[in-house]
Amino acid sequence: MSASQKSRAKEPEIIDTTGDPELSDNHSDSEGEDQEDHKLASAPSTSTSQKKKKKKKSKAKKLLNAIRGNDEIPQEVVDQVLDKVKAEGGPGSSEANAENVRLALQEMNIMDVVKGKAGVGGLNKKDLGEHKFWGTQPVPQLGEGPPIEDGYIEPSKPREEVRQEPYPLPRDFEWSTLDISDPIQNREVYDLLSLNYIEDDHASFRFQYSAEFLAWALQPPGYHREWHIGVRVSSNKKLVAFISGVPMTLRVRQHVIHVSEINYLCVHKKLRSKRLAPVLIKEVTRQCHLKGIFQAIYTAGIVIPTPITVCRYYHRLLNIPKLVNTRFCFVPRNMTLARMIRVNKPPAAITLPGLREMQEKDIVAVAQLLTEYMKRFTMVPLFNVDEARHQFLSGMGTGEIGNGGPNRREKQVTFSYVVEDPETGKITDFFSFYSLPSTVIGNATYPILEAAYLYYYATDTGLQGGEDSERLVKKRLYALIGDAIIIANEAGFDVFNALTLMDNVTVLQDLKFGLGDGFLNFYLYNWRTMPLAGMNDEGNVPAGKGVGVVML
Amino acid sequence: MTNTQPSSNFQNAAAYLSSSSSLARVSNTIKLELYGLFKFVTVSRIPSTSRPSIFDMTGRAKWDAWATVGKKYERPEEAERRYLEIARTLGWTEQEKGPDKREPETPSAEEDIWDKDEVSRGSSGGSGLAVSVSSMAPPPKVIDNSIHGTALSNDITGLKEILEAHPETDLNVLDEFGYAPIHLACDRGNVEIVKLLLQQGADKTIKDPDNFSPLELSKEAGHIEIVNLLVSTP
Repeated sequence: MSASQKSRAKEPEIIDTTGDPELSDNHSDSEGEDQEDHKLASAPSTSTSQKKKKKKKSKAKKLLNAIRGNDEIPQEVVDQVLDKVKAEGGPGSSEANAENVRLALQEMNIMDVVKGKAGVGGLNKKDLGEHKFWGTQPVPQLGEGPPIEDGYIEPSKPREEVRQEPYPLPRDFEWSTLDISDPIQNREVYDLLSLNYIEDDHASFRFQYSAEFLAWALQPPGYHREWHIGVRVSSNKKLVAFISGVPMTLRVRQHVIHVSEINYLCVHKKLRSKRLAPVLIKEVTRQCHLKGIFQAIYTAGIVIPTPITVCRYYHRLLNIPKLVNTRFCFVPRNMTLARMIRVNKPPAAITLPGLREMQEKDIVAVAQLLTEYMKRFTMVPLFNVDEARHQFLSGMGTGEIGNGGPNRREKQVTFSYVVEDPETGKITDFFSFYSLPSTVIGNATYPILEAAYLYYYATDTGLQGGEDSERLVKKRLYALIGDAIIIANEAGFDVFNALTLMDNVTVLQDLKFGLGDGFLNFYLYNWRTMPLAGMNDEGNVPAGKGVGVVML
Repeated sequence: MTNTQPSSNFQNAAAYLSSSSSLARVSNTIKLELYGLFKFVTVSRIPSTSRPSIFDMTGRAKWDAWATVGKKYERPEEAERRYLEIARTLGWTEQEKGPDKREPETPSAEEDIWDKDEVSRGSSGGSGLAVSVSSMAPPPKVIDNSIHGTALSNDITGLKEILEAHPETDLNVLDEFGYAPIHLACDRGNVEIVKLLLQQGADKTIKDPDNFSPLELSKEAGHIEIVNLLVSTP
């Protein structure tokens, strides 16, 4: 019996102890807390430090009560959080002070905490009803300790044992396979996502996935049309829900697994009560099974069972007047707009000699460089040459640079650059970013926010090892990503975004990225692994270096 | 049910709020108050169910809000008055016909704004795979009743009060970062504050730490009205 099977056998018990909220809160808060602690102590767990957890929970509860009860946040709570932030020492923790902690707490509204977006002290380990579905799925359950070794949760099945018929839908709805290469169907997905895909908490911005973005994101080499799944209203064929998967080869620690990258789950606003999401997830899982794929990777802003890591968004502000006007950011108390513009002005010219746009002839060198560089991280995609071509070259748009706005092509989604050594002609570095605009809700002056997202990059600096290599990598990345910011600025982007993954953490502060309010949780389906270093260090792995996957 | 029926004004305002985009930007505190008032007016003074479990945080917060309103107001008319007052601050007017023309299936008495709002957030759809657009973590909200604070937050009443209570106040005093109130008002675009400061004789040529005058700051920030104001003031 493997380790993963062993912990699977324990699962029903674990669900029971974390799953029934009514057990623990009958009377007053304090009584509820006692009972919960008792329950926690008797719960079977592979975790080693129950005491620590308990302490964390009651802290978190005080915090929550404070947030829910009134606007004033007690100094005690602020102090506790501040201590915790300093102790964990994540990126930016040196900037933490009582004032910004208090603010952060105020800004976290009730629903953020409930949904676990903000992830305060383990609070999101609560069953909120939604987790009932995840309790039936082969994912590590909340409260279950870290696995002893990596592996699947449910074994793969031969094709004939996979359910052959689609899952039933509510009356009046039907399944539909979408063909993203067909402009009409692509447009249907675009319309559904742009009107119903997730907004930020205050509903100020909404992702705007363009047709060319979807074509790029959903049709990598070897993609399966059957994994682009829609739900239509039977009577008028209107598309009301969507989910997609694309194939990816993923290395998680020493294991290489073929996974489906699940994304763009979207249900029409008016149909949210029909609980279509679980059946969409089941159906895409079934379609993956039919192709012999039994693992998946996906990300979400919220916490569900069970993240393998969480990353935080950072933002390099470029078009300050527009970002302030759209309330993407605010003028700090100690500045004027004029000073903010000056402080954030990117350098006028790129710094690396030999930097140029990537071309077809570079693709083999880039694929090799990337493969080599990605060995630095714990969980990474493995791209062959065709896949690298798709990821970095297929989205470069059509026609001449400049016909799709300043310094960009029409329909350009990806921006990929290489550094060619002027003497040897060797490709020594590479970076890419992609364009994903957001609609600014209710702003007539600036309807669209142009955002660039840092994608994959690599350098041969430091690959030889040696004790100074990390410092050299950091220095090189400062120049490389610094140039990416300059190019994005010249191409008319308003903001340049990055997550706390890969080696980003080492250069974010120096390159004037500011802390974002968004988090991204990473999940694996039917695969257990120990937590990865994302926003925070994990064991001796520094923050970011656990994650080498950039999800679109 | 209460013995008085909600007025048509109330129904009208509820309909407005349930479809109004202005609600999206309102704090949860206000939403909860609206929820409590709505329940008071349409159902009963206080909830008849027991307080929801601590794990049902939304349910519990709503229950608490309802109970709080029930303690604060005695009669539904009072709750209704308060409800309309909030609705007006969110852009509702008595002429507003409500959303019937825009959205046919808007709210029955049972379907209040909070529920609708929550549904639209997607969490109750059970999707659990939401990715939100990140923006900058916002700066601290500090309550500052100084002349600098009122200039920043566009609190014209607050500034007037200070000047009435302390006519000797130096309008050109610099804050800890080297800004005079007029710098801050010109930069943030607070026209009325600039007007008042100029009336009271504030120095409009004073330079900020970057050697910018109020006029340069308002030009840089694109506040045309303030630019004109400064230019036309002798």
